Amino acid sequence: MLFFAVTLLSCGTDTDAGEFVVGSDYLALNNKVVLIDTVTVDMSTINFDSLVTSSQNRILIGNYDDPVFGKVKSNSYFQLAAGSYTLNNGTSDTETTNYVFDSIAMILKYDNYYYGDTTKVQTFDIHRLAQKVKPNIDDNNFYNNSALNYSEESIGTISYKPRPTERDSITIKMSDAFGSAIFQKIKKREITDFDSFSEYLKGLVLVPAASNSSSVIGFHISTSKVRLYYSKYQADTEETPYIIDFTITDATKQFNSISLDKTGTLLQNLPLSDSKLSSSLMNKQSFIQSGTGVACRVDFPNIKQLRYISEKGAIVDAQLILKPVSNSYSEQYPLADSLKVYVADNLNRISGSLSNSAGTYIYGILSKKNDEFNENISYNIPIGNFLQKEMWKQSDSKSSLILTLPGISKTVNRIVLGDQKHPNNKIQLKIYYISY
Amino acid sequence: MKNKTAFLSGFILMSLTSFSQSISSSPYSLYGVGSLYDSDFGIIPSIGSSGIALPSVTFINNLNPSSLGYLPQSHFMFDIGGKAIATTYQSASRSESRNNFQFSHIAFAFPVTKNSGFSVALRPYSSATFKISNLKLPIENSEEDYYLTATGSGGLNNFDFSYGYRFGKKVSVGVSASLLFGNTIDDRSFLITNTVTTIHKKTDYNGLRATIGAQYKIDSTLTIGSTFKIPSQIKASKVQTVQTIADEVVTTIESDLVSDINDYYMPLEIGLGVSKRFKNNLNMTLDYEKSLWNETNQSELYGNFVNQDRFALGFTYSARKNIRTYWDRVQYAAGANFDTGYLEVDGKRINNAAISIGLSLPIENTYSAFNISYSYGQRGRISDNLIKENYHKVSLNLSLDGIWFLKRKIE
Repeated sequence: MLFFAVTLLSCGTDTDAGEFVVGSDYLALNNKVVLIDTVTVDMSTINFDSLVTSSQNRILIGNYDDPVFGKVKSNSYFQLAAGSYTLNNGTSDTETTNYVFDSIAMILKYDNYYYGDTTKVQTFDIHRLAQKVKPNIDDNNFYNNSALNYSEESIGTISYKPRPTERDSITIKMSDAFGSAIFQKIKKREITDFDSFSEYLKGLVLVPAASNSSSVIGFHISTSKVRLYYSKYQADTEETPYIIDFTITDATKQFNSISLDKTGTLLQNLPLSDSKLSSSLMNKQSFIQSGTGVACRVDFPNIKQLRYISEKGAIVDAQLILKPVSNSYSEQYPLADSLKVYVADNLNRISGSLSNSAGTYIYGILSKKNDEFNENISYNIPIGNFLQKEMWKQSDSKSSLILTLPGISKTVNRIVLGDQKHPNNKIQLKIYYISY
Repeated sequence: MKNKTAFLSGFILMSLTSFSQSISSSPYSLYGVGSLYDSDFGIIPSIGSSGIALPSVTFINNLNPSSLGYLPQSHFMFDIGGKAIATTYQSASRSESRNNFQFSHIAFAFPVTKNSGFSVALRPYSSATFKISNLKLPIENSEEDYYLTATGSGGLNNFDFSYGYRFGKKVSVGVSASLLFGNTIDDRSFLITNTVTTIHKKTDYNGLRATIGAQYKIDSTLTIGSTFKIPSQIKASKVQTVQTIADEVVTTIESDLVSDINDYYMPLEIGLGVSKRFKNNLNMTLDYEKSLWNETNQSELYGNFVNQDRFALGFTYSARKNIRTYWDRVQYAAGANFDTGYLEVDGKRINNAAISIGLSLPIENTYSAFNISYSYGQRGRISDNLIKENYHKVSLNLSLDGIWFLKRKIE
């Protein structure tokens, strides 16, 4: 009986809040938690040969001379279409004959994107395309290096100070001869539908002037248009003119040809897209530029050696901290808020976006802890899941990370990052490792 | 006889299950195979756990197998006990009290011949119960910290088989084999930056340890005794699961992986004891025991172990000469115990000191008795990384004496 009593009593014990601890050194003995920050990180710059720039819904126009990257230029190509190819009340022939051409203009709506110095005047010309807006290859895409033939003659030009955030749009007066010709074709019913129109006007291209431009500006494709004004013969001046709007109805038939003249810069020796140029050959820096396909590649050549740190261990977390090189950015060349991260093989073939263990894409997030020397401005990328997999990977192949800026296909933002040997803006890799 | 065996086996099984419920959550249970239980039989808890030189006449003396040579013939002895412990844990900044009740032991002994005896005992050996909540620890090679939450449970049990033989009237020798077995479970979770790593580890232990003992009766009032616990190796193996939780996704790094870990080593322990009777009603026992933990070269996995000295002193008093009332047959006891501890934490030994008093209340006209003991003790000390435990302990041991074999033999 007593025995059973004791058995029952032994169940009763007070709860232990766990606040009394002895020997914290001993606790850390069996499971060491270490920060490893000496793992080699190789940085290099690569150059994707082609980025799809059609269907990006942005007219990107302008050029500027980048102090680091060279001469950046973006031409924008597009095909136009009208809702209807008839004049007002086109059913009545008598009335139609009374209409006369007034003028034609291009109205471009700012989409708030800009890069470079918008206090300087930008100049660009409008040219007619000499060929149809049709991809050369089978995949129906246009690329940043695609180009179409256009006529030498400018049918419109503008020199203006861009106000992308203050103003709504810009208007470019176009050649009367060009406008009148279209008007007459419609009036004479030589243009009656899209086919006959696009046969006559294959498309337009906006070409920035080689000099006298310091910025790249973005415009909406859906609300930008070419507007043709016409009115009744000898109409009253108060009478509202009639219009025909030509718009970009097919986003796949609009693209930006973005080019970079790297001559004389650190980037001039960038190799083909399946190769890389080490940061050690580029003044301890790596480069990213949207639109032109310049991207930063990060490699972890010794990651598998972490297996041998302890008999058994795991990477529980890791932070890759990338620092933009001081003085490489400014108000004119601002830093993007994030970096896009891809996983790729040795030949820069992308296998997918970097994701965490839950499958959510990981971005490098800009942290701005303002200090005097901007030393703490950095992009932090959590790569624990990636490195853990890399460490345990059976095969000898190693994956790289490729960093780009968001909007790689429709902006020209760029960034310069320091490598591990950079004097002020070193890339850091912090690996949290536990032995078990 | 068969019925009795079945009955006892049942007891043993039940007591085994009850071990798992015996919980003592000392912060020091983190080390080694846990905090050691003291589970002495009969009146021994009252006399400061001394008694290497005492014979097993009125109760089973668990301190020296050679005492079994003095088991009274035709008696069957049974001993069972439990303890209630109230402990106050004190650190430099706070204190907290916890109570617990635990099963202490179950044992029986019977004479084999008129000068030899055998005993079987089952008792808990150690408890690895501890708890740590959100302890901030530095990440090595950085100025950052991580947070550890841990719980430990389980412990080792001791299954003893002892045999004692008496040569003539003065000399007895004995040997016991202790089977140490059990497992400890250690669950830890590490909060490192934004991720949690959990390590679930179950360690199984088993090993055998021998003790040899001797007693020598110098004269009718003075006995000396000695024991040697032979060093032994307790085999250890672990089953471990390691998982990391990042972005609410659990990744298993290691799942129920069985591996050998460093074995646990029990040291050579040498005990010496004296028992002296004064004026026929006052008995003094004095023991000294040295445990050579240094020589075990214990893996640092278990902590830092150092040689241990243990001193125990006890007195019993009974008015044996003219027994008139029940209270004249009651035995009064008092004792003290000091032990330097075998554990060193941050360069400081975890010593233990206790005083005890007790009563042995006889049941009927046999050797059966109900032993009540109260002791107060202190373990450890207050310092940066250490905790002091003040404990009040009440031990209840029921020592039963049966003349069952005699009855059976007559039938």
